[in-house]
Amino acid sequence: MSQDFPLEGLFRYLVRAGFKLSIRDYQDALKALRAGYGIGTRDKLKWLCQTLWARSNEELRQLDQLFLSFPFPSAEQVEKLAAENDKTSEPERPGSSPASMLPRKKDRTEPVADDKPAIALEFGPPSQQGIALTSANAKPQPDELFILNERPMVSLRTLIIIWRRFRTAKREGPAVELDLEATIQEQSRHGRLPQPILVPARRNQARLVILIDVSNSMLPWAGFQKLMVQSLRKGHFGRAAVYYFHNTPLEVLYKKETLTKPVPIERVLQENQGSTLMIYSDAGAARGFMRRDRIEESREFLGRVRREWQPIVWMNPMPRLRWRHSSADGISRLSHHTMLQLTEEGLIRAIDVLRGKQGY
Amino acid sequence: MEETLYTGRGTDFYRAPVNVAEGVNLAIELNRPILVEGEAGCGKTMLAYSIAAEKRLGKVVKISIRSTSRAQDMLYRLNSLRRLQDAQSTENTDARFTFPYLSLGPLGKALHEPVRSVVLIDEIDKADIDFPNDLLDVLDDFSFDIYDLPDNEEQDCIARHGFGKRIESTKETQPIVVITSNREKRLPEPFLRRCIYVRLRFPEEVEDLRDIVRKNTKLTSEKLNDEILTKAIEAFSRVRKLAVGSAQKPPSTGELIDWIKILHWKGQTVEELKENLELPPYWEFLFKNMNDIDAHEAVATKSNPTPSK
Repeated sequence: MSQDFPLEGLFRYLVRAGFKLSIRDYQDALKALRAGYGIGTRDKLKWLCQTLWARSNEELRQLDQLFLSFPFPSAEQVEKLAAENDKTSEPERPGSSPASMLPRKKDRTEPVADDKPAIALEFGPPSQQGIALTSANAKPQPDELFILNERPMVSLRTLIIIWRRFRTAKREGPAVELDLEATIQEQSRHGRLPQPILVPARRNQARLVILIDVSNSMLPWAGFQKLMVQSLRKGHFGRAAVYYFHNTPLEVLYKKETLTKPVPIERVLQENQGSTLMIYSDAGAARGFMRRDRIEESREFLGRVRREWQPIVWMNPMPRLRWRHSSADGISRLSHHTMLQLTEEGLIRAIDVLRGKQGY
Repeated sequence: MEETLYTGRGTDFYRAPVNVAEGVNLAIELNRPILVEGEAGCGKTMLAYSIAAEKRLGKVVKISIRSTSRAQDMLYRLNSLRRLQDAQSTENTDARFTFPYLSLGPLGKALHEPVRSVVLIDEIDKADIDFPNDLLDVLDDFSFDIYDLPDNEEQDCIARHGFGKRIESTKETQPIVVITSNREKRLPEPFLRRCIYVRLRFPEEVEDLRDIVRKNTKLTSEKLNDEILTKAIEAFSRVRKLAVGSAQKPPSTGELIDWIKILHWKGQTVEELKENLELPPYWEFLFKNMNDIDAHEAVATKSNPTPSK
């Protein structure tokens, strides 16, 4: 039955490539094909697939590229398939040979001529007759294969959402919100209501200091570091401050990522009393050396700031497996803080720790 | 019911490129919301009005989003404060019930009404980060439940307001939802997946621009002759070309229309326009901030070493 589903190979390929598509997206594509969209030329079909399935420039580019090597169904095929499809109103998920529907890498480099039916053009199993690719469109551009997937460890949006979990709200400021319960009580006590009872609005009191390591071993995550700083602004914190350091936080922290505008640690502590602390550093795991002096320095630093800043989490962008046999291993064993791997789950856990929930 | 397709050319105030019109038709076919992105001033909002006009769907239900907008308010509202007030009077029996204080929000109304309409959710990126996701369910199947309405009051509610607990629309009356975004915030992935994405680009063709200006300024060729219009568009295109990439807000169709109105009002001649195409008369009005104006003046003077002032 798998030949009854045009574009199925492409769809499966996209799902495997990380496009977040559901079966409904596929059904919509069939519906659109049946209604006459994307029929006729390769460009029209590409337009349909991009409109329905691609949601970022990156995905648009990927589809652009795929369409150089993908076969596409002819009008007759679609018609037949549509008729077939009507009979089985719900397309069942066919489980046959998806491999034959993947783009053949070989085809990519050589233009396919119309008179060469031998090249994999069919949508279903090899027995099904397919149609030829138009040769003019099949020529790859010299630069098109160099697509780098630039995906941050945690997306900006996710970061903001995670920050917003960090809430310790207190009522503060002018009384502007209606206290419904008190108002109703007042009403029932007096039998009338002279005026509604107001209370101050809740405000987030969560305070966070983030210390960011900007040494060379952290260079691979330079982009993410910017993203993190950017996300703080939208995180609705009571107060969030960022300082930078090199290798190990010591006597002096810096206000700028270029390690300029130094501030002595005592001042930072004073300005951010009662805050929580997040340290963002690979703790030597990126280079993979064990340096006792670094561990010692970290112990000293943690011991010093913990009177003012509690709890403390240490986010490490290196995978936990790579901490072993490096300073990170030693540092993660130090008391007064929790070291976590920087992933979405790790950050969620970190927020729990910062809110005082010890589950680690 | 055979529906006519949207062409993007059927109205006298707007014209949509072919692929945009095609996207709109696809979205209508698949009952998906249309997400429109593009430079400010290139007609995102007008697209919704042109769909409504061309498909004769009456007035556009416009929902302007603010940073405090909540998805719930689009659907229905429960006026608790009013109820509290009413409860103070012993004669008022309404306050014993919930239904008298219910009313449908703009999207709720559009879903409930037995005719199809165009719903424009303008600048969704202004809303809080959770807003699009809250709306997702409703836009998915074009129905929602009024949870605040107790079951035993449903009949009374139908009698008074005409709607019950469940608000839904049939396939024929499903609103066409147009959502515009300026990309101030990134929209959530599931939401993007749900929408048909339409990107409005700035029309580069002189023909298209001339058409847009004529349609929007209602200046006939007697009032503003083609020669002036073409020259003005040429000057505008030069200014825009220099500004794109460097200016914070490069001039777009909206600015072009205003500028040409100014030229017409001031009675500019072709000769005056020709003098310096990069710095045409009143060019400052094409920009929206001081830095852009200064930057453009500097660039234009540099590229044109002997400007005849």
